[in-house]
Amino acid sequence: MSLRYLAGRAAGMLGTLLGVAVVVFVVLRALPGDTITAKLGTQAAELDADQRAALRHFYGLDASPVTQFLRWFGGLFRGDLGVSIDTGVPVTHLIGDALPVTLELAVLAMIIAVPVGVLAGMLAASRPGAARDLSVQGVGLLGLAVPEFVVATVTVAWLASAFAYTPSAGTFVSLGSSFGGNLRQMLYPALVLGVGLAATVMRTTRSAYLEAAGSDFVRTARGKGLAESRVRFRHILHNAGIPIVTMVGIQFGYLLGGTLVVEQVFALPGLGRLLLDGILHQDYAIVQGVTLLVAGTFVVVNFAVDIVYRLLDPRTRSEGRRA
Amino acid sequence: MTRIPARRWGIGAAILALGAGAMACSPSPSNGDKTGESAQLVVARTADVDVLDPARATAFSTNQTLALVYDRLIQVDPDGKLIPGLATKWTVGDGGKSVTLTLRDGVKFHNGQAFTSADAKASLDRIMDPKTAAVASSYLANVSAVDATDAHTLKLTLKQPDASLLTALSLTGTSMLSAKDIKAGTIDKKPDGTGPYKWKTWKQGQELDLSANADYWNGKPKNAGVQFRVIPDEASIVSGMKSGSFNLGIVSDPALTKQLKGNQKMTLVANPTLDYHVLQLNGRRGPLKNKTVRRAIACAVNRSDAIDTVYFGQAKETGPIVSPAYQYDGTDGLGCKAGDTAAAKKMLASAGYAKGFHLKTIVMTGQYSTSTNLAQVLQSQLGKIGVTLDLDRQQTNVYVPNWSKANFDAAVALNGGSIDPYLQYNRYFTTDGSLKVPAGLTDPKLNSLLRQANSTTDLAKRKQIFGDLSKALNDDSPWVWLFRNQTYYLESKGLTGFTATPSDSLENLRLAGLA
Repeated sequence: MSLRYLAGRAAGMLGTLLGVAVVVFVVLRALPGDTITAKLGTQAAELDADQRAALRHFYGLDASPVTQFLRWFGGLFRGDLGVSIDTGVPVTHLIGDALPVTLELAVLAMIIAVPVGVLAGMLAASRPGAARDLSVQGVGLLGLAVPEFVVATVTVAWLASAFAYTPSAGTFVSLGSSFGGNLRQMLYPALVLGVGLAATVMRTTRSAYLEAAGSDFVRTARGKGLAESRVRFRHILHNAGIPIVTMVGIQFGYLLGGTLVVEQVFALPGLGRLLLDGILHQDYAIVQGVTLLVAGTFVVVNFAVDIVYRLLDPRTRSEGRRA
Repeated sequence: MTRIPARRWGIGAAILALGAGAMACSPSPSNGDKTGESAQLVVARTADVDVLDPARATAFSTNQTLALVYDRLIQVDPDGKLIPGLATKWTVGDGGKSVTLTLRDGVKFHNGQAFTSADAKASLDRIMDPKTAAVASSYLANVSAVDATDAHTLKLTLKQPDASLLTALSLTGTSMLSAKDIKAGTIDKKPDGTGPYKWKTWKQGQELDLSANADYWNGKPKNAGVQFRVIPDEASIVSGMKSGSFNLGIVSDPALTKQLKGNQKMTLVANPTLDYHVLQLNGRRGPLKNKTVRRAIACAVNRSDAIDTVYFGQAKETGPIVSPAYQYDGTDGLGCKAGDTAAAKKMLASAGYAKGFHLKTIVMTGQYSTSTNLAQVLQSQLGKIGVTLDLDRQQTNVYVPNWSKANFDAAVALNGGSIDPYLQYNRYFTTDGSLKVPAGLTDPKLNSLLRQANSTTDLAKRKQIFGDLSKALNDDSPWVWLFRNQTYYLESKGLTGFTATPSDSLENLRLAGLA
């Protein structure tokens, strides 16, 4: 991995983020209404001109969009994402509180989804068309087809009626303050996310595994008399790794921005809820900050996936050297 | 394809089993097992407090919460009557152009300071100061001066008589703040009032803890404190109630309440609020300019059928006036029985619209759960007389500007009511009302009735004027009044002493305990 390659990638990443910053800023302002209508609803119509002007000034909406953008953009370089219009709390604090929750949820979901998905995929691929393949695929399809909000709501309702337990009812406990308490609250949302994700991982694994299993080197490995488990994990799975890693990487990026529904149903104070509240209240700084963060994560995860490719597959390494 | 020995899959099976095992374990909630006055009440609702400054509070959950920490000069009893709050009595003088209030002695802010007329003056002056950007400032538009004549007397001088001012002094927006806090600029940082509860800790978006104010002038609360939990999903609130995690759950979706029939763990209380569902008509456009047409539409709507579909039969029909203090026959002046399709058809024909017409109808989505359902019911009912509602569902931020510019033929709306009918309608139907555009029409009769009502504080006179107003509104039918909005309170078995109020305030939480 040459320095030049890394520098090129870094520049590309910054360019993407700048684009995201501009687009989000413009789109937010192009939306009908503003913070005042979002907050007051039809009551906003009752404001007289003086009241409206006072509120616009209070919320910093009286500055021109260009000034607003430069103010916000300049802040980015000082690590300042602005403050929430509603509460005056710096957006960096809000994100600092919310990010660990979503990150933990995403990691837990991955811990559940990857082993389950990969093993189920291998199981299905071991005998394509057989009963085990069809049943694994059937369950997988169900996992993909049933929307998260249904699984989540049904889980909450079932836990309440069967075990008189509601994971979201208590005060949220952070990982730092109580490991067990936190895990108990995170387990069910992570399972709900993990189930859907496992289905995706399973399907990718199945097709990649089937493709690799048909290769010559697999026949050779078996011909050499290698143990079946070694053939399966070392030769086939290893070679099927790239699409799986890509899929897991993309899904992880999605998870950071997309645990919204689960956070909502399980009342977890994560990024998704922060973003939704920001949109509903048209609290520009929050939406801009969170979107930039999610976009940034996507960019970084993509980059990390590229690096993992290079570790998994020597062929992709030489390209970089040639460049 | 080679066969894979089944035992190889043991690992996968083990992991799946692990997940299933974890699902089966069921930790029981520890909700505090204290009862009586040492109990802390846990209240679940969907929204958090959004601002801490009462003068800028508009969100429902914010008003509800800040009203527990702050007091107003005047309070409202369950029948909509004004009763003493921080003011023990008030007299209207100078032909209605002054109000003198006697303030309660011995009241203390949570910070230990005594409440005096200086605090009251500073609180009202602050609302009228444009720099505060107070939404409540319009309530005090008629006030020209606030004077603290002695430590416990406050005199308001008015530009013109304003009977509704007394009601305005009972709203969260006109809460009494400490002059010291105003000076220090801490109002929107740490609530500090004279109310039954003290502000303790707040984790934004998650939970808020209030502790009982043992020195409360109206009696120490019957519980140690209240914890509000923010559970954004109403179905999760219902689940939490079933598992016994909350003492009180507040929800609005009528569909959820169907699940609760026969549930032993909680009691469901449906509370009609002052907010009302209404079909607003734009009397400045097309066929709707004709009064007979508007009345035909009002006659064709069958309220009780609509309630059956939208609220599963449980809601309160309403005419124009929603206040419990002023009750009239809600259809008086309409000239027909509501839901009389045949009469409505005849009226349309007599106005020359036998073939019917289309109405561009805006519907707000995302703000309350029943809007679309209600719009569809109205669409099918009015379809019977040939009036076609073309429904245009719009997000709040799209709806609000269209609504305020009256960019609609009809609007399915949920409007805020008041215990004072003048406050309910002056914005719409007086000639300088801030909402005269979305009101859909101007009627000099409505204007003069409203002005008369606000120029007198004589209760008997007001009762008569508002009765005339109700009749005149039905006669003119600028809108079709449907039914009151409803909030559902889910009360856990052990909860005692809590009663909901028409304004949906939680002031009675201080009387609630756990048995």
